[in-house]
Amino acid sequence: MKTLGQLVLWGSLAGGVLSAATAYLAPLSAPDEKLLGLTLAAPAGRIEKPDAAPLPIARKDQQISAELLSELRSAGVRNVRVKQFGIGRWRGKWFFLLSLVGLAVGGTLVRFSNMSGRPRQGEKTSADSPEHLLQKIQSTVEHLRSTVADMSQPGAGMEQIRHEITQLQQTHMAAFVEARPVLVARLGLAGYARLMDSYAAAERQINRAWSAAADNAHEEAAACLDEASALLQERGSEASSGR
Amino acid sequence: MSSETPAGAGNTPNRPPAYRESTVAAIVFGLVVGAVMNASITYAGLKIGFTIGGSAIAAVLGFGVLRGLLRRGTILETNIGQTVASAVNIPNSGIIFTVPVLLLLDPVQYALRADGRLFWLLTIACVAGAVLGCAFIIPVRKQMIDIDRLRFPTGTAVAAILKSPGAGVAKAWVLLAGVLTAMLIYLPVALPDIKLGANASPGGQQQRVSLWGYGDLNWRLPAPRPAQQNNPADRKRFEEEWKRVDRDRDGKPDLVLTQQTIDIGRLLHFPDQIQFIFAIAPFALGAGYVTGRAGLLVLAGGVLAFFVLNPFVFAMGWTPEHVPAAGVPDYAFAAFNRPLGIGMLLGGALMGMLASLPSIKEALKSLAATRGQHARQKTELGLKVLLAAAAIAIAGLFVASDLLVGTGGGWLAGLNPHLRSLIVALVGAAWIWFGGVIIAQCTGMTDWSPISGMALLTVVLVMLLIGTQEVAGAVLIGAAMCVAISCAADMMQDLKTGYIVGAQPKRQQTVELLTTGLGPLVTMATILLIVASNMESTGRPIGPGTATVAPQAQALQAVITGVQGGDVPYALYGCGAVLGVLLGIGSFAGLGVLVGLSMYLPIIYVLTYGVGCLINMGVTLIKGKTWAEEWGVPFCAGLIVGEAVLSLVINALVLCVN
Repeated sequence: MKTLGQLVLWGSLAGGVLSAATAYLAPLSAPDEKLLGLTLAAPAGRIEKPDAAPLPIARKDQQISAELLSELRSAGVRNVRVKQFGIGRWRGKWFFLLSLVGLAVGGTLVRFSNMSGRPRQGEKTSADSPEHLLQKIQSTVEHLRSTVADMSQPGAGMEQIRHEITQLQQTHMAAFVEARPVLVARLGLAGYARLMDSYAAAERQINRAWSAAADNAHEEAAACLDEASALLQERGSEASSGR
Repeated sequence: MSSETPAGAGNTPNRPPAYRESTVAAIVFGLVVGAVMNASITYAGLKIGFTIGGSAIAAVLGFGVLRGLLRRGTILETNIGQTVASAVNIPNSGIIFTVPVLLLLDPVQYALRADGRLFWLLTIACVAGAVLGCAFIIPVRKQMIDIDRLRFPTGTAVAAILKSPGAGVAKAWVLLAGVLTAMLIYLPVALPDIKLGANASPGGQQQRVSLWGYGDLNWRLPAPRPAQQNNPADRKRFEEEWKRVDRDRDGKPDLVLTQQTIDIGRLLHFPDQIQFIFAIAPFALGAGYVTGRAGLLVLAGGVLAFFVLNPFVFAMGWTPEHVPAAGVPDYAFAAFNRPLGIGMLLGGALMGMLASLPSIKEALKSLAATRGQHARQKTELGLKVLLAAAAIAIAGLFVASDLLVGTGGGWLAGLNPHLRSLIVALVGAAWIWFGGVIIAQCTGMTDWSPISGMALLTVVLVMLLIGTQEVAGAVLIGAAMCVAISCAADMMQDLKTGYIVGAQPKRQQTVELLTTGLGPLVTMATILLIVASNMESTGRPIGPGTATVAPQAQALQAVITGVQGGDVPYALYGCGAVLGVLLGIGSFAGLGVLVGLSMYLPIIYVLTYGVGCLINMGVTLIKGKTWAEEWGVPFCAGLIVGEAVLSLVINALVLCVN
């Protein structure tokens, strides 16, 4: 259903764009009274020159007069681009409307297929479920805290902190962020926003601990890990609360 | 601002006081570097038509100065330095696009002098715009960065630079390799911009000598097989083929590799109406890689516009008859692609905003919840401060427009002049808020910011309100808008960098809000100097006939004269907006922004950007996602930074040579 939805969506977009391109096009087959007085938005017609680039018959900003109209028609010009928009003159209007309907249908199909896929993902209790990932993040942070606390010399374990945080960022933290669809399905957008607001605060502290460790600021790194731990504990249950 | 503010004053007030973040050294460094970059980029931007953001350069310089010379800078201190520097630098991109247009339109009526009212009113408006841009975008930081997790490729790249000393030697080398690769690739693109104008020809004309560029490789399309003289059909074939390979009619096949692009389409014999040209832009390649798979939607929009719409329009005979097939991409870009793209951007952004309302609401609630906290516990600037800053800026905008806008026509004709100015200031401020959010979304998702499109719409909107003859008023609000959205996008990039390195948002927000107003002062003073110098040497303030031709302002001049001549494709904007809104029903609400952006951008950059996205996907497939992030992102950060650094060097050289 999703593929069909995408096809309808992009096909309708192409149709919409193509029909919109005719909005300012005035077909010279229209009755004179509908064309006279309009102003050209682009040069029209073509006069061939033997050794030079072709020239237009009418220039931009020129008003369509009876003489010009007949000159353009006799030169075989079928359409001119004008500055004034007229819904009656817009030949692609019905196709445009149809495209809008297609976009709405295609978009709805894509959305429904996305939504129907979510509960299956949400039901997973595998190792990469959001709450499991949060636990992993939390346990790594706890481990780092104890490493810092056990350090005989300040600054000795800074490289280890950097290394472990880098690993954490690349694995569990990245995976937690990618679990967005599952979390949105469980918590709704507002609940997800609340969760991510506090998760982001913890993540920022972890990131800061990395920077502090890189700068050999031992105390700052320890303080950041403490704060991250507190924030993660505070919100740890929130990820699964929507079940 | 204390020089040794306690580090990490986050959620617990008893933090160790030793970690340097928001220091006097960092702020002074940022102010000096930002002002120097601003002046040099203003000059070069008026001369060659593009500007660069300063974050990456300031980050690199920050390590040299704060860590190298002062020997005490931390990652977060350097981050504050780059935040200040880019805040002071960035307003120039908005100003040089708008303010010089007045000098192009009427150098006498709109003369810029230090003792003239116009100069100061424009400066006030630009300062107000800078403050508004920052104040309006701060409340959406949580939504865009914490909740929606937008990528902000340049912000990510700058963070990679800041983290490079601690990320290990191997990653630092990868980053450096990226920087050097970008410089090597981009050097021949940038060198010809330094035009040496020393030799006087016998006729007394100054001759410009271009330095070496890609075009000098002389890689041309293959010439057609010679015709048999006694075979008329073969001669005709030869003439036709020759026309195809020699569009510029200089008697030689055209270049495949020009100074800035590589034309793969013509090499592969694509039909003339299909433009398949890649920009030689390491920055675009790097940004595409950092964006990854999501960036393919940008590519899809470009493909739709340039590979479907334009050839179809040509095939149906909807282009003017005198426009040859090869001219179709340029014609269609101006006639349909850009207006539809701008409309789609607006519609997509509106839809994205509506869909994000729950997150925005939660983010604002979270901001408001800090109201009762101790100052040291707050991680974000409070709403009260932001509202006060916005109110002062809007007052400035009102004063400037009240003193500048006449009693002309437009929708507000007949109203009390002060009321008109108030409405203009308020509508301008509301539009700035909307524009800031759109631009921040665009840069967050793709790194591109459609500033010129927003400026165009601003000028149209203001001219509708106050009359098409009120050019100065329109440019005033347009300048404020452009400065605001540049600052908003830059601030979000900086806040993204800050997030990745663990900076405290409040500190970045404070220094940015306090220093960004200096940027317009530096830019306007530089323009004043340039105008005085040009008047002395050429008798013209700016534009054609001077060394500073102001290409971007010339584009806006064309728009203004177009609006005055009734040449605004409102219906296309409207159609685009409806399409953008409906696109948001599908996969995600902001899809219209991505597709609109790619219709609005020249295809040459979209294609290069798309290559970056595809490389990311290929690397992920072969080496895995972790490897692609761990090693690919630093390299691509280097590509983004390398082009920016080289551009700055070229700008400095342009300044010296002239």
